[in-house]
Amino acid sequence: MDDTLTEQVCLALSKVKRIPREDIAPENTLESLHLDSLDTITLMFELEESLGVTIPDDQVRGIATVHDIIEGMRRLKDGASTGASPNAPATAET
Amino acid sequence: MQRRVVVTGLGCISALGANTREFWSALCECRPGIGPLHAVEPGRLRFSNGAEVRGFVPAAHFEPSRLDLLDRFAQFALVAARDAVTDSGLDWTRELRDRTAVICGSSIGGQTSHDDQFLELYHRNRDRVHPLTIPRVMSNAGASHIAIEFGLTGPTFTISSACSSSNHAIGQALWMVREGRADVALTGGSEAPFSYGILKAWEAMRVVAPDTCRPFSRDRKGLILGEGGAMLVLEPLDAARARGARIYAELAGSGLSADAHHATQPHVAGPARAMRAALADAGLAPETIGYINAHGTGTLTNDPVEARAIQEVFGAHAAAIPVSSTKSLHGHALGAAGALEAVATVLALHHGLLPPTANFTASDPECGLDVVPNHARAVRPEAALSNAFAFGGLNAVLAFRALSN
Repeated sequence: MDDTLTEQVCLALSKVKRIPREDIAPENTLESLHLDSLDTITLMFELEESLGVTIPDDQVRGIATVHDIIEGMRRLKDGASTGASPNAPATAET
Repeated sequence: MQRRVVVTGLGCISALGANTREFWSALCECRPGIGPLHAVEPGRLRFSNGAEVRGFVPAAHFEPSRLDLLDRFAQFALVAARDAVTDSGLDWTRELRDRTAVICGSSIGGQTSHDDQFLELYHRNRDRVHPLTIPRVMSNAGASHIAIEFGLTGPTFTISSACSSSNHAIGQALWMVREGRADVALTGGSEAPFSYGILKAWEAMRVVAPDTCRPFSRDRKGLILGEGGAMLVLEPLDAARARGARIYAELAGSGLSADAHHATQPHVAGPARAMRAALADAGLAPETIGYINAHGTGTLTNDPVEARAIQEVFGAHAAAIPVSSTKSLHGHALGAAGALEAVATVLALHHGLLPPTANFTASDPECGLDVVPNHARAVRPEAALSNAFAFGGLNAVLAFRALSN
């Protein structure tokens, strides 16, 4: 387990949601953290900036838990392609 | 004084062509104007397609000294207004000019000029910007230049409510003519969002499709941005008949609401209230509606929410209403979207032909509507709605009734 990556994702979530770092754990669902669509795209922006990765739109739509985000970032940092679920829309819509 | 208000002139420029005739032909023949974006170098965006106005040469429309003052969005407003005025056959008198309103919609105004000039400051370290930057950037430039060109001195302003801007503008124009505050209104909207900065901002929203716009399809992936302008000439029914004008349709009502819910998430209740308000304002029973031009952005969330709103308003009749999204053809032109779609709706009533939803692949059970897939349909509805629902939760719906000479 790459504790650094877990820490970076949790810190980004803490910044976006303005909640203490210790209130965030990998097993938390995004729903339980009250992450709405704008929070989600803001979190992706923060992670792209801090980790130096590009997160594809279809990967954003597949995430449900903090753990999903950490694993997705790990795959991106490893340069591996990522699968994505077509469900769970998590982007801002008009 | 309550007067019936009719549409007697149409003008538009869009990805579907340089004028209303080309626009309507492309709609009826289901030829989308979506293709690779030319406004930005390949590889600088995560999406690659848009609905651009192609082959537009500003110098063919405007003197060089005039162009100094006109951002692309204002150029589109003027080109569309000229077409609409010519189409209407209006004979301007001094008195009529004083009694003509110009009410336009635009979400972002002169962003291309904004981008170009601020690039000079931030990137090239220049110390000054062009002195005409402010008049080019101002969102009311379209309305102001229409007033200047035609010498129109009635109430003139621009409404900005993101993707509902044009519908808010056209609805306001309807009420002004209906109530006798103006005898003619030139109304619609224009937008030119293909600046690098605005495109990057949309990229960050993660709502733009990587392929194309497929409203109501199960495999839809998002919207496709568009640009252009469209204008309508409105006047009282009696005045139009008296001068022997061609009447395209009656603009019978307008309904407005706010979701008061969320900055970007669509909502069922707000759009439903706007549709009901438009029907009430028009004095139309729900069963008279035989076509809806949907907001239909093609995003994952908008389309099922809009379908539920339509079903809530129309109940069992919803299944019998053809509903198409012409954004699948002309793209999402933001503040100009409602104006382009008003032209499409008016022409659908006038010709008895419903424009299709293009790029349709497979039904989404979450969007249980008759979406007129991929082929125009010959139907003569009694009345139609045109929906616009904006970021910020601002909803504006127009109701049109079939009416001709």
